[in-house]
Amino acid sequence: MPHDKNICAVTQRPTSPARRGFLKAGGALVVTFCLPAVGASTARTQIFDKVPPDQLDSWIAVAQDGSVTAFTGRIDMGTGVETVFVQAVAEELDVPVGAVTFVLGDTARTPDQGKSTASNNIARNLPPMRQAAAEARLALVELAAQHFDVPVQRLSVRDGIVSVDGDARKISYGELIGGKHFNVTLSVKGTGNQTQIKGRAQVKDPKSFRVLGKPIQRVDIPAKVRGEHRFVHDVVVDGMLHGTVVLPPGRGMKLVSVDGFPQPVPGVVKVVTRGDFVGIVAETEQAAVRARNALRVTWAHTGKPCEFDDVYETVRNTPLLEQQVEGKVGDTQKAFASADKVLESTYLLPVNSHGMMGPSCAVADFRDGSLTLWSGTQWPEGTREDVAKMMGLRVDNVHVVWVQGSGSYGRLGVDDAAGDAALLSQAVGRPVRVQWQRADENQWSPLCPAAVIRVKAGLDRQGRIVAWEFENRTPGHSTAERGNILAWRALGSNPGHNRLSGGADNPSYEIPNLNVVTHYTHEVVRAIYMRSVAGIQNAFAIECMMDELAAQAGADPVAFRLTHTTNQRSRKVIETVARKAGWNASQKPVVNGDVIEARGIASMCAGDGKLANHGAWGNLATIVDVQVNRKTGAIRVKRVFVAFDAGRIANPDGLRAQAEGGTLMGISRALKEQVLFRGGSVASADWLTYPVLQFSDVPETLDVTLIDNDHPPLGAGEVPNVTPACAIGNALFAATGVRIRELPLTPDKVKAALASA
Amino acid sequence: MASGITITVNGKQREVRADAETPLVYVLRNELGLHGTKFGCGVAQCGVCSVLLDGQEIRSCIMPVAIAAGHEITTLEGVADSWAHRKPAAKAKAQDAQQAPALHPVQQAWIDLQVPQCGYCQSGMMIQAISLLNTNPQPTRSDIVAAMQGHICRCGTHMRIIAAIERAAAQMSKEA
Repeated sequence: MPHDKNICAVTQRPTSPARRGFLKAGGALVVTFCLPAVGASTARTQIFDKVPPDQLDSWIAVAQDGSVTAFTGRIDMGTGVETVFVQAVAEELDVPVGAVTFVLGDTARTPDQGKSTASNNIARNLPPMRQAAAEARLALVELAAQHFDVPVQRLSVRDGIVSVDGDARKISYGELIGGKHFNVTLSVKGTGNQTQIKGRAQVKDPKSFRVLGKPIQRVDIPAKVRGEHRFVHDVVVDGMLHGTVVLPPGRGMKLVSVDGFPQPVPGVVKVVTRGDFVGIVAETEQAAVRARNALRVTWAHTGKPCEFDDVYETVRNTPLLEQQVEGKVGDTQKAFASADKVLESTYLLPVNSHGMMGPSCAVADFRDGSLTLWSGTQWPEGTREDVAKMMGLRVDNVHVVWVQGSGSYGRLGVDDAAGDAALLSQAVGRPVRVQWQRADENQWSPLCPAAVIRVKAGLDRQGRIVAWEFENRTPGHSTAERGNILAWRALGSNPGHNRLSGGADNPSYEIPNLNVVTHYTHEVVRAIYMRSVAGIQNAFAIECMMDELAAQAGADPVAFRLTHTTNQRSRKVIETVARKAGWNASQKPVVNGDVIEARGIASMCAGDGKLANHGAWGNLATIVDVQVNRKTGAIRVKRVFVAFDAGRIANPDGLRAQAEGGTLMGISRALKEQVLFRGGSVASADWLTYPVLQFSDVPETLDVTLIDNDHPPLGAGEVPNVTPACAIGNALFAATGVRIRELPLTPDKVKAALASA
Repeated sequence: MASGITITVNGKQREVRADAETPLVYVLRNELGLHGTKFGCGVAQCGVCSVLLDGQEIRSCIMPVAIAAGHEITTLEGVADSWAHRKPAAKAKAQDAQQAPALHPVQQAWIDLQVPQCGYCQSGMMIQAISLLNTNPQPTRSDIVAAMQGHICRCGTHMRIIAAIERAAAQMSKEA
């Protein structure tokens, strides 16, 4: 049972065994990890050292029964990568899939491997996990060679049993090393999410894979289906209290006073005020919620009230922070001067919300100067460092235990609830679980910022694109990631962000004169990357413009795209999806009363993954068949075809699930999603005011073609989410001749556009 | 300190400490340790907190615990047993094989089609699916869409949910 150890680790506060011995032991001591809670008599500040990546024992442990525990700083936010990690270890170690259990994202038990973002869990983590398992296999085979006194060449391994070729002798991994250390030192290259390791072992040739590349069932699904899977929301710690936060009604407000409860709320333990941070700790969750709703708090604007009702005007008027040239080829000015036709369009992309189904939640246990946090964070070490700094603790006094949160799509690149829980636990001296309410999540989680994208493109007489100018004006997409935990901002002591992301992407087409620029503005609202970072925004502009150019050139949209790329992988996804959909260059919209049916295509190709874009990797093309109702303006996506090349496939069913899920979220973002503001407050505070895809919006068919090859794995979680919006926009144009350049493509916008056409 | 309220959950009578107005979801999760039921929105908009009340889906985030008293509450943790109870043959089969209680056909279909991604909404999805099949054993696709309409999934597992409900319906009609 892969998750038993998590449960064990969360039900009792882990103590800190003799540091060096524990760390060197790595996983071997995992089974004895549940130690008695620290009693008051032994109270002392705990030190949680980092796990050394240069020790094989930090990555792999084999127990006496032959079961394997593997350790990674990476996490699985619900995409199924844990299963792929299991496959990688089972493959290289030659053990059954069922023998492998993973410990993910525990800063005291797993190597620091940075953050699980940008769809790179497979691309970045398969190499070290495969290498670690291969090193362990080599060490075990050498032990067996000593044991039998035969050369290693005479040994073979199957299902964790080492056999001597040509006779009946065999010995299991458990018998060879069970519970003991490998004591193998590896060389380490890179840090954080770039960590790679190397020893003496050779990983397998993918041609001989028996486990990787197969549709192995997900290891987490049985527990999820039985209601036994532990989410961070389900963590229970002995003596735990329930906390909540009271957040201001709008942006840019300061706390004036906390004025108490109109009448006593039973079960309230403490109201905690620090700076602009207001939290409540209560005996029960319902008492915390009642207290939150009852507490009288006075807030006031510090200056001019914030105002972002028009998010695009806000982006246009917010001062620039930095400009970045993302791509420059040839001389666009000259090319535009000699172009036959020049098109220029501006595309508007709204603020989106990740909308985790489960609002933010974390548990903190602050005791004797040290802190244990149970968090769904996508970046355990980042959360550890930030919460430590916020609390004025040394980083090694903080231990972050990752427990799966609700699907986060980037939102848990920063875990705000962890900051709240830490402050509240410190204030009451007991473990505190913080659960945000839905309105907290919708109004105060970091958001995917709005973008204003201007594209200018020139065609020559032959209908080829000769010039491309692309400017994406946007606030950075990761301003919340570090130095900006919400509670830390409320304390007023946070350093602020240190990294910009979510800028302009280069088109995946060959254009002789090109100029791609990002104009990063200052932060508008706290932001965190959302499934593709700015992939969906950039692709909407790029792929709608490609369609506009095709129309200008009198070319078929599929043929036009193929004319502009010689990359074999890009061509293959476009050709494949066109063939699967039965794309016909002379197809005409089908009119049936008020309903017009037509199709559109979009593609997003990273080639070999070297394209300088900001998020989504992989090569993917999408064709959608939509029905547009002229009377109501409603767009219904009837059928979707996807062709997807994400490099060598680690798990076809897992990849297919990402293609399906990403496509549906892409349709949701295309048709429905936008965060609305009223006077500096998020008006989209619930699921009625932030509508997302419902079952009635689901297409009748979703046909996914996976293209396997020998190229290294590329990201899979984000790309499928990028293409639906532009494909739908293009299908709307094919159906009606109307081009809408602003998401979402709501009935009101469609009706208005049709009326003015 | 008991509030004097007793509720029946997964076939067992449970005495409750929470006061009458406490939403059922908090009682299930925090008093009874049944974490399969999730909190999502608190206003019955998303469906992650769904449980069965006398076999029909309700939203436990807006149901005061006192109102649930006197009814049979079934959470995801209890659906396998309640199916085995309804289908003694299934129970006997499971016991013969000395397995854990056989899953409800809806749960089995969820595994067969590898439905969940993050899984946070899936308890409510399966509960709603069971509620639908309890009253409409042979739903059409549009019946399924209508029944599931009030449940949100952010990972985009909808296609597999629809297919899994169709699969479970077929399986249940075979067993019936």
